[in-house]
Amino acid sequence: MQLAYREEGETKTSWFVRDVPRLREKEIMGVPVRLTSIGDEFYTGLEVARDPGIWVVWTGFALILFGLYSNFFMCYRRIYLLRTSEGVLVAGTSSRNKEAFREEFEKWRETAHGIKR
Amino acid sequence: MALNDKLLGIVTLFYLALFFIHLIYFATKKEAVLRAVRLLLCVTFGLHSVGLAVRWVESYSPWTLVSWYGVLPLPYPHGPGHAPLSNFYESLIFYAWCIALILLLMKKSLRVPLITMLAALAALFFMGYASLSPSVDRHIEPLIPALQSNWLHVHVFTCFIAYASFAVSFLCGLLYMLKPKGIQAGKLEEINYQSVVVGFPMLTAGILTGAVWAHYAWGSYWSWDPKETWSLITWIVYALFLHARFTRGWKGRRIALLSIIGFMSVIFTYLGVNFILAGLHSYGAA
Repeated sequence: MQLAYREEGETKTSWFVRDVPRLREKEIMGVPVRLTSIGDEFYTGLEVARDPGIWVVWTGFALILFGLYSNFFMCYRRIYLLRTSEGVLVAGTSSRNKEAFREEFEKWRETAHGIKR
Repeated sequence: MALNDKLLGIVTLFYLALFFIHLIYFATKKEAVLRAVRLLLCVTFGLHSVGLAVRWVESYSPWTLVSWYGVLPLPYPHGPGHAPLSNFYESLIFYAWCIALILLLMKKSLRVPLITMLAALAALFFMGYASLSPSVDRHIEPLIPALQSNWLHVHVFTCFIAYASFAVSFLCGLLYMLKPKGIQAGKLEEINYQSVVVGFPMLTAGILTGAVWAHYAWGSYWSWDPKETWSLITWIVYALFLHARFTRGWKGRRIALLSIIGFMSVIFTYLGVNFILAGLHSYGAA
């Protein structure tokens, strides 16, 4: 195995070999270092997370989605009825999805057409 | 060969038939042919759904693995068992299914045969590429641990519905640029807008469910993985589309151009990232 150490601000390395007596024991910076054994050990990396604020994130996600859907799929609609001498004048406006509103309005107008008084 | 492969092969032929019946409509201009188009679309979608369902059911059968590998791989005595949403082949098939679903859902506003024809062609392309390309693996394989979650269904479904509606938006933008005869430009803009309105919240939902899932599977909401980054770019392009339309009143060519740019970004998110950039989402490739 290789040992790395710093001596006077410089990084130095030194090899230790278990089966060569000359390389088993060395003195590094005045400290005797000896390699006694090399062995394998099994290990696993585990991460543990604690998220006390997670419900804030989930609520935020839900709010974004709710906002988007209500923004795109709900709209202000107005229907105007004006009584004139010739009958009732009907008009309407929608803030979104005007094409669909036009169709719905036409259908609604047709059904209302036959009604008198 | 498993039953789902046969069924999905037949579905590919149905998409081809759907394309041809559109051509017949353009040659004859008969209303009856248009009714046949709608009927065939419903039948194709139904059969496609059955094909996907059969693939799902067959994935639970150990015989699926035996027929692919010759022997039963030991850790899976019951077959891998998962929704057909896990590899590139399955995503192509599912993309075609989503396009058909969008055509059905938007059939009220999609009364333009040219768009349904091109969409059928796109679905045919995805089905054909999935079934014929030698580089696409058609095996039903066990799910890797990171994918074993119920978020898989929600996440993939929302993302692909968004991709499919953006495909419709792209077709509208493209047609607007080419200005073919017999289609009102206003109608195209309307459909373009509606498909983005369907797609954008779906993409948002897809990104958010992805973040929730990533939090549980990878330990962080957002890791700047290439797929995440590109889906964010796509999201920004379509946000720009909607914003420009609402607040700046953009119309016509500029909006059409934005929908084309947006779809380029979708395609890069879907395919480019899988093949060019490696990342956490790389199981989608090959």
